[in-house]
This record gives sequence, structure tokens and C-alpha cells, in this order.
Amino acid sequence: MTTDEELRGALLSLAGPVEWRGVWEEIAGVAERRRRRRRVVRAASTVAAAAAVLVLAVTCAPKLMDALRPVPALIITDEEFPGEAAQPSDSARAPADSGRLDISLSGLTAYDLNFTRLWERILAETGLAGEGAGLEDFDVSFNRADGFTHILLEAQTKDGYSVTAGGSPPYEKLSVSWQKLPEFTPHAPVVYADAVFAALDSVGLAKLRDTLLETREPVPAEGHYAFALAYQHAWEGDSIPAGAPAILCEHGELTTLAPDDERRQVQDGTVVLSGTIMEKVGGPDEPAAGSSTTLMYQSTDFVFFVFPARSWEEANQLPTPEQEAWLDALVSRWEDKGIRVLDVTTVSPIAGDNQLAREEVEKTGLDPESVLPLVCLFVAESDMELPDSVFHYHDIEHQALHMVEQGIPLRILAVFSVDEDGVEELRSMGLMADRPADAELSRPQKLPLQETQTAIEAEVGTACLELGATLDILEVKDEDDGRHVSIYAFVRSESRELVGPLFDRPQSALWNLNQEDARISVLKVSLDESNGEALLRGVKDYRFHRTSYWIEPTLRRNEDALPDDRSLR
Amino acid sequence: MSEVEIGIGVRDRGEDAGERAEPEERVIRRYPSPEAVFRASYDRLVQTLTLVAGDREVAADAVQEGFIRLVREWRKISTYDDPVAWVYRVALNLVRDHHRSLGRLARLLLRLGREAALEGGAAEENNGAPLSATAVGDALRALPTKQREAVALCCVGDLTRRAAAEVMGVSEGSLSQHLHRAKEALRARMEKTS
Repeated sequence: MTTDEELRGALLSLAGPVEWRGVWEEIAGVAERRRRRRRVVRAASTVAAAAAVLVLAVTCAPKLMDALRPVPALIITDEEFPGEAAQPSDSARAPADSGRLDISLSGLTAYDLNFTRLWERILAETGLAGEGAGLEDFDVSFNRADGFTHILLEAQTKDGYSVTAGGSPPYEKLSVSWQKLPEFTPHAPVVYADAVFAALDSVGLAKLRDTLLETREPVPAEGHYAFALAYQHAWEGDSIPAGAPAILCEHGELTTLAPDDERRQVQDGTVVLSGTIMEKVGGPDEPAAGSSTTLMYQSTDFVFFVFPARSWEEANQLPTPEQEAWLDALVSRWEDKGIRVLDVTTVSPIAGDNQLAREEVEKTGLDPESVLPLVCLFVAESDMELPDSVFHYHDIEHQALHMVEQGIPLRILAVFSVDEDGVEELRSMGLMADRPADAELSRPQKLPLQETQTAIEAEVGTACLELGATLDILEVKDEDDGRHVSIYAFVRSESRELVGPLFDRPQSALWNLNQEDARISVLKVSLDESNGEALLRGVKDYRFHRTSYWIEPTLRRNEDALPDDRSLR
Repeated sequence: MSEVEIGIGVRDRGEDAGERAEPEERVIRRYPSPEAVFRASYDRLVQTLTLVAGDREVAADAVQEGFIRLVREWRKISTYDDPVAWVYRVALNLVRDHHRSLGRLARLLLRLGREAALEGGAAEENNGAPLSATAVGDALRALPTKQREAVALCCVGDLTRRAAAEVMGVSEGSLSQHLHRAKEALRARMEKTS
């Protein structure tokens, strides 16, 4: 009988010895580099508050002036602000009602400045409480090379102190003053000071400068903003998604900040800074002595977003037994319906999505453990290629929605494709819960199958005749999620210009049949040219009120559509 | 070693999990620094995860990432009963993620009729730092994932059943069953070979 010790010995022998020289140093080095990049962003700004920020609270204006004129730099050394957060030098003492002090500055370039440490140093020197402090004004200007031209910081602590720090040439010191406000009503600030500084530090002034300069072209029209969308570098609790951009810049209009803009939804905790880039566009490089020269500047307003780091516990990676059962049911359903599943998980490879999914559930008042906040379905990239992906996407979503209707508490479905190199790409993500559905259509049909088939055949046959197509196959099948109609037709090349409407033509007939309780749930139309070239793929889901289609770009779907109305889906 | 242990750890490695298990006492380990955790547990973590992953490189990467996160979260994790178990959990999750990702790719390649490419890749991987082709190795590889995890964590990782169950995200009862079956399978293979 093999004893436990013998078994353990065999396993240890199998695992082999471990070399660990130098490993700790590597771990510590990587951790330190990540620590420098990461600052937890904490701000209470919602979309509304963020909009207010643009007008009222914070202006961050790096004015990238000409670099030719030597400008004394505001310099803060790392020695003065060591790695660990500065602690208040005498945290127990109460600050005086008012005071003034200088913080001496020397050393590095402006781009090495760490605003968080600077703020902590101010708090330590003044004895003020920084937690919950709001930033009232913040203005920093710097030139292209490395020097500040101006810095101003005004904040208000939650116990009613106003603190101002500023410096101007020659920047040997930062002057700090504070005073107790005579009348102060505690209130939540629009923007938290530490959040703004953490946001700036998470990206760094140099990167912000470079990004904004890249964003400058083409210069947006007046009243427009150049967006610099900065994503927080690190995700807590998970690795950074491969290939995720650290900073992404786009041009856009101010109106795209509207809260209902789906593309630019600003999540809670996002820090928004606005500012202006000014660049010299005219005049001599070096004004001649004694001469009077007008320098011309080109200015570009920008809005700078830093999205917060999302935190989620590793503990939440594992589905509960109940969640596993729901997943199994979903997979079975998909596979039964011919969907080729590579994998299904409750954890997204994109870490931020997991937190967002949980927040979506929590907003509804549900316990994330009691539902499926997020399901990620992995399928082959080849299954996601147009034009047949129109059907694949629909089938995946239709079956998921069917299962939701059957009681699977799925909230969000994300579909990922996997290519031959193993690269995984998010292809779609959508809310499955609380979607409107026509439950009637999944009940037993009153109009017999044969009658339905005959009626559709007549209608589609007429349409094909008129449009120059040939009906190849008409399938009408009753399934547990309703009656499914599939039409396959082809057309000769000389007639292809006319056949686009073949997707819409049968729909009115099907609608009429549904009035007679034919209970048609899904219509699929495939149209090819006789040489096999795909011309149209369309699917209409009567049960879940969805329509998707793809049409060959030279064709028109609707008979009365304008020539340029040729949507892909 | 700079580890400080508070409380009493009852390690009943000699007892088969399928048999009646006495309740384990709570083990609290305190370490003065992440480096102390590293020095106390790194080699055992890598060995354990190697058995789970079947690949030394994958295991070492996962364990190192676990320690990087430990350093980052030290203020919080240092208050946990057993920071080593936390690193186990992070590393195990990373290995699982790696396997899931490989599995997806493998299924895709199989789907695409590229079995030859897959075999080539697998052979290449085994040329890296594979488990030796012993009877135990074969038997271990043949175990279902959870059984392999259970036996590695409990027999090599020196975790109590309670800690191993928490690391795996299963109940203690479930862990005991996986462990029992794994040991039976490995013993049978070892005795057959000998």
C-alpha cells in the first residue's frame, strides 16, 4: 500500500527542484514599476458632475508655449517626495486657522512631477486633512521642453479650510497659504483633489502633452473639443487586456458629452479635465532685441478623461454551483441549436467588463451571486465572418434570450471570437435581461404548419417571380421557441440589381399570418447569385423584436430606398 | 525564516480525505513582509502549480504574478489569515485562465482541421519544461482537473483541506472527494507499476 508520504515524495520528485535566485528581485522590480503607474482614481463625478467640471470646477491648462524662451522650471525632486505616500508630519496637531509657508523645490524636470506627492506634502506641512478635499481650481501651464510657466492649486477641505498653492518664476519655492473659512457648509465636492492628481499621475504630464499634440491635427472647429481619452493604466485584480490602449485620442464635438451618448458613456468615478493647448504658429523664433513682435498662437480646447481603475476580487472568478448549472443549460441550448461553442465563462478577459457587469446587477438591487451578471461566449472567428455571421449572431442572441425567458437570470452576454493564433476579440456585448419579448409566439400554433407553408410559398413565389429570383428552398419548422421560416433563393447575374427587396417582401405576409395565430417567431432569408456569390442575408426576429441583415453593397434592400441607403447591418 | 505563526495548524496529510475528517483548526500566519512570504513559500508554490499546470514555465509565471499582486496589495493581504493561500488562489486562477485560453485555441484548431498543427504545438510545449514521463506523471495528467488541483494543493502545497477548498473555490466536502479519488488513482498506478 502506497503511503501518503510516498505519494507526496513521488509528486515532489515529479515537480522537480525550483530555482529562485533573482526571482524576488524581479518580482519587486515589476511591482514597483506598476505601483508608479497606478493610482486609484476616486472621484464622485457622474456625467452631470463631469459636465459641470468643464464649466465650474477644474481647469487644467497646459499651455504649450514656444520652447525657445528659456523658462525657469518648477522642479520637485523624488528625494523630497519619496516613494511612499507622505504622512502628515504631525497629524495629531490641529491646523491653525490660517497660515503661510513655502515648500522649497529643486531637482528634476517638470515631467517628473508627481501631483499626488506634492498634494500629500502640502497636507503634511500644513496639518490639513486631505481626505474628501475638493479641488476648486487647478491650473498648470508648461512649455514643450520641460518647464512650468505657471502653477495654481486651490482646494477646500471637508472641515472648512481653503488652501492655495502657487508658484511663478523663478520657481524656487511653492507658496502655500490656508485659512479657515468663516462660513462653511459641509458639502460633497464636485471633484476630489486626490482623484484629479491621481488621474494626472496615472498618465503623466509628458504623455498627456504628447497625446494632446497628436490630437491637435486636424484642429477642431470653434466650439469643438479634441478628446483625449485616457484609460487608467492598470486594472486592480487582473492583468491589463492585451493590446489595450493606454491613451486614445479622438476629435469630437462638445455635444458628444451628452449623457445619453452610448458611445461615450462616462462611468462613475471618471475624472474629466478641460484645458487648452496653445502653440505658436507665427512670428520669429527669437524676437530681436528691442523689437516689438506679435506672436500668434493657435489654441485647441480639449477634454481629458481618466477612467477609474476597476477593482474586482479574484474570489469572484469562480461561478457558484447554481451559476454553473445555468451556464451548462445555456451551452446545451446553444449547441443543440447548432452554435459551435469554444468556451463559455462568467469572467471576461477584459477585466473592466466584469466590474461593470456586477455594477449593472447591483443597480437593479440584485445580488450578483444570485444571477449571471456576465456570460462570455467564445466562438471561432471564422463563424463570425460576414455575411453568414448575421445568422450566427442572431442565433446566439435569440437562444440566449429564449433561455432568459425560461428563467435563466442572464444579464449581459458578450461574444468573443478566437482566431487561429488564439487572439480573442470582443465582437458584441449586450444586455439580455429585461428585453421585450412576445411570449405568444412561443406557444403552440393555431394555424397548421402546412397551411402556413402554403401561404408563404405563394407569397415568396410571387415575390421571386417579380424580382427575377428563383426560390430554391422554403423551410417552415415548428420548434420549442416558435415557428421558424427559412427562405433560400438565387438569382442570375443579369437580374441581381432588383432582388434586394426579397427580404422585406415576405414580411408583410408573415405579419398577416401571425394575425391568424401562425406564430412565426423567426424569418431568415438567404439570397445568392447563381454563381454562389452571397447577395443578402437577413433575419427578422418577431419574438424578440430584432432585425439584422447584410446586403451586397451594390444592391438596395428597399425598393424605395435612396441609392446611398445601403446599410451593412 | 521570518514567518510568524499564530494559532495551531492541524495538518492531517496522513488522513485520506474520503475518510472521516476531523475539523481543522484555523491557521493564522503572519509575515512581516511580502518577501518573507516569498521566501517561505515560493518553491512549494511553483512545484504545486507545476503539477496542476503540467508546465513549469506557466506555473512559475503564474506564481510570480501572484507575488507581484501580493506586493501591490500587501497592506490588505497582510491582514488575511494566510497570505500564502491567497497567492495560491491568484496563481491557480491564472493557470486556469491560461488553460481556458489554450483550450479555446485547441478547440478552434481542431475545428479547423489542423490537428497536425496542434500536435506539433503540443510536442513543442512538452519539450520545454515538462513533467517527467513517469507513471505518476501519466496518472496525474490523466486526472480530471479538480482532482489534480486537489492532490497538488493538499499533498505538495501543504495546504489544509479548508484552505485548499477555499483556493479551489469548492466546498470542503467536494475537495475531500476530489482528493480521495485522486489519491486512489495515483496509488493504483504506482502500485501497478511497482
